[in-house]
Amino acid sequence: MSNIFSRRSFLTTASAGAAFGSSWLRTLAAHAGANDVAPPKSCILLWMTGGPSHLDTFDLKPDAPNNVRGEFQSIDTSVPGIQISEHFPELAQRMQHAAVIRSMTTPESDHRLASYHVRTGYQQRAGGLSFPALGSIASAELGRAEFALPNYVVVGAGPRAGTTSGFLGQRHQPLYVSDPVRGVEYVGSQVDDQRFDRQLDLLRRLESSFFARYQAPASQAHTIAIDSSVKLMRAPELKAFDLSREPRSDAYGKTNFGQGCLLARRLVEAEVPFIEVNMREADWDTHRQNFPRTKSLSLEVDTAMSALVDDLSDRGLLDRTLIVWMGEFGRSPQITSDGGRNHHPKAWSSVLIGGGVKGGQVIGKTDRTATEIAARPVTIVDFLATVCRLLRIDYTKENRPIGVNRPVRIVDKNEKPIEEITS
Amino acid sequence: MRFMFCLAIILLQTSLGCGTFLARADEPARTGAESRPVVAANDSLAKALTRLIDERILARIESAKMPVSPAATDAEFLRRVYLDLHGLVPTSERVRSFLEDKAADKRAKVIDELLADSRFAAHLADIWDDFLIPNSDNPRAEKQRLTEWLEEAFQTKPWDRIAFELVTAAGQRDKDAVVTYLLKGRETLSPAEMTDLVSQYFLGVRMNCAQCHDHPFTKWKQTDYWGMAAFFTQIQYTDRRLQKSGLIRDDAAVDVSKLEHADKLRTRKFLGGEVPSSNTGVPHRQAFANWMTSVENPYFARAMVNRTWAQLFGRGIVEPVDDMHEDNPATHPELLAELTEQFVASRFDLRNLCRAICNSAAYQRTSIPSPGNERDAMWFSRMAVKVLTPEQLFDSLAIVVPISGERKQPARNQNPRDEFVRFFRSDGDTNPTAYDRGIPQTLRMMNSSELLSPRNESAIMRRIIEPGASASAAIERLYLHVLARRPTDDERSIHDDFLARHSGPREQAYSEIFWALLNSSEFSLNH
Repeated sequence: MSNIFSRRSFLTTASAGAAFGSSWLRTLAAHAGANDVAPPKSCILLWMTGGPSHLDTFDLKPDAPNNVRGEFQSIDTSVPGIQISEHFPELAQRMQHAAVIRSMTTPESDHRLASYHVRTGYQQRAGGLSFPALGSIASAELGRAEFALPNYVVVGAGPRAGTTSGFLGQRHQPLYVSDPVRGVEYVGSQVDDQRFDRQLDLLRRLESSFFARYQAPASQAHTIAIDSSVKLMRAPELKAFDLSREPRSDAYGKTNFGQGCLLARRLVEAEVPFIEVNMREADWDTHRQNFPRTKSLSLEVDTAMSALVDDLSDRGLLDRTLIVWMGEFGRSPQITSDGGRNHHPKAWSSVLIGGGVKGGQVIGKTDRTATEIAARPVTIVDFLATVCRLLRIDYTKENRPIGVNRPVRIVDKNEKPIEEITS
Repeated sequence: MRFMFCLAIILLQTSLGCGTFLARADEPARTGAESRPVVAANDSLAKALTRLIDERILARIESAKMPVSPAATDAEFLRRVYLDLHGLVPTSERVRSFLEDKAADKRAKVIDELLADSRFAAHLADIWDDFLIPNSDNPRAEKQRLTEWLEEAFQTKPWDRIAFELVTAAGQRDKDAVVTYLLKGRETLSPAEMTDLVSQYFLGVRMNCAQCHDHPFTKWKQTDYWGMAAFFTQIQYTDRRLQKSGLIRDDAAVDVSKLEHADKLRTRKFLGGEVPSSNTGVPHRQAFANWMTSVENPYFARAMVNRTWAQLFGRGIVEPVDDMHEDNPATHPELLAELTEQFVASRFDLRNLCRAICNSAAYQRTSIPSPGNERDAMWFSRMAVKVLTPEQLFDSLAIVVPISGERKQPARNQNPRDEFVRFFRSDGDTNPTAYDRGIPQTLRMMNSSELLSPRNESAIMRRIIEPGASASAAIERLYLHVLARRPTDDERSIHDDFLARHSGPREQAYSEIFWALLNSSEFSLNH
């Protein structure tokens, strides 16, 4: 039985009024499981806009001097020997699923440039080439053309540097959903289906007449945008965006980020390969008041991320879903006179959960003040190669963007993927 | 022709008093008002320049052995020049009067008319406020004040003056709108941020790689980068706790050693040039602005000429426009040099430059490819198809359909235009020909009740189509109104067929056609 057929049969069931809540998602997942072709892995990128302080989250330095150590205590976790901030009490109990990378090291210290570099693996440079986001790469490599939902969804408002499809083109642009509770806006037509189809048919005829004369690539891209929008309007999977009947809503926390994580889970159930959840209400750019802000942001993440891990695990989806927690850089060890921390790309932390990751381990370490890397530096190409390998993307594959006379690898050369991440 | 051109320069020099226009930019007598007497002389100059543009462009097309697309139709030209100079489409009345006008010089007249209108300045302000305050970091109210300042500036001042005033901006936050772009929250732009902004937008060069290492592709060294940054170390924001009435000024006594990258910020150095004498008493920023806007500066005028060309042609003579360096050659180096020379000679008059370009046959070619030039990407053998910016789209929609502005949750500090522009803005490719609209924007164009709904469609149709109009007349009105042209025969037959099969009320059928035109790629493109 093909996937498409199972969705059609769902459509019949749904219109008969028999499927409610998320049971249909389970139905879909069950069908997919019975398929000959295993569904691709999915990735949920939890993006910590602004750059979280590694010293106050996953790389505490209790023995560092006062002006570095900060206010937070470290706590024991479910894995002996691993300690994290006291403001992740729930996540601490799920450490057996997590690999904490404490030796991220990158060059950019500007938010925009760093976000671009971390999300695309390339620095934004002269030459004008626009590089695709990791999500667009996943869309191109793992996505299915016949899939009704976009293969890359970005949830939550926030800076969009490094979240576009770049040279991969219109088909791999993300769907931006600024507010997870409102879902996809303007998705309902003002007119009945019959009229909408008639208007659309007319539009298509006019488009081909225009394109025949002008042959403009922009006109073609416009048609693709119309096609994917209409496909989405008609997709039964659109229900994944409706959080109103979701029973697990409270568990994630009634915050934008919490509800974004809930939406991400539902999109994974609907087999979307890449979802990014932006945390933005109050960002992690804590030049001032680092401690109260980092505390409340941590607690928010703790609730949402733990609920996400539990739900995916309960549904048997954790093995095929990689959760990535990261921002664009870490924060400076020296606490400023305003009680803040500045940007610090030289050494910082990220967390990987699920998707085949061997949990309960720490990779790399920083020196005693978390300023420099002390062991196993992880550059952005190392990191992205690791993520691609987990998602079964061949990161050595070469793209050939139009107008560029050299091949562009998915992940740039000199990568050393983290071998111990799976074994 | 070359003779005419030289003659024009001589005329200009004479009219100014020979040598005056070669005066260094840092000499005092330079105000906006002073540039006005030049206008008359500029007229013949612009004509000579237009001829030169076509000579140079054709020469390259011929050597590339490429066919040239024919001239754009009047309708194509009118919509294009409105979008390029005013940032919106013409009204259907204007389209009709233009199409009916029999005057041989009607295109030149409309160019003059658009350039004389303050809307030209408003359109430039729209373009520049995003360069100066990207992503609306500053509260919207402040960005709006900068936009108003720019509008006034583009209306009354030549480009060198505007750039000078921006780079040296000082004053009180709530009184002097020009300073707002220097502020990010409670901080001023750092010397490095100022360097990135000034080099990219005023000088047309990207320096940011040279911040950390000597540039791999260009001659820029780290010393060039930090030498420029050193000019921006004196910017001080005092009384910042007062927020509104905080003062931005230059403090000569600033302690550079307390700044980030202090060790690199000690020596000021003009880009690719000399180290200024240290004890002139002139604030560093002013010294820099004097150097930057000097008629001898090799980057400043050229950058604006190239940017203006790209704004009108969808592609710079050097591309990308902010990455001009020796290994990124111009497609038409002589033309760029000559346009630059003339831009300086006209005392940085943007209207003059736009007039010369818009009157050229190159600008007035159709974007429809001719057999053999389909793939032309750089010889200007046909016009590029540009994508409407969010601002152009909003302002054009406001002409075509009254936008109701009804939104579920209007955010604070946002008028409907700002909200719309933010919704349609992408942070992706800045290339004017790159289509970057996604699903949310497409859905909004197709389905939003702010544009067209069963509740308002009747009113909109009555506004466009006269009661009792024949089907043929109605279709023509719809086309003039939305696409600023008459329908082709092919399109007429598509609509005849559509109407013949439509069983509902006529007005509703027209509204369906209106929807299709509004959602066509043509409406969202400048072709």
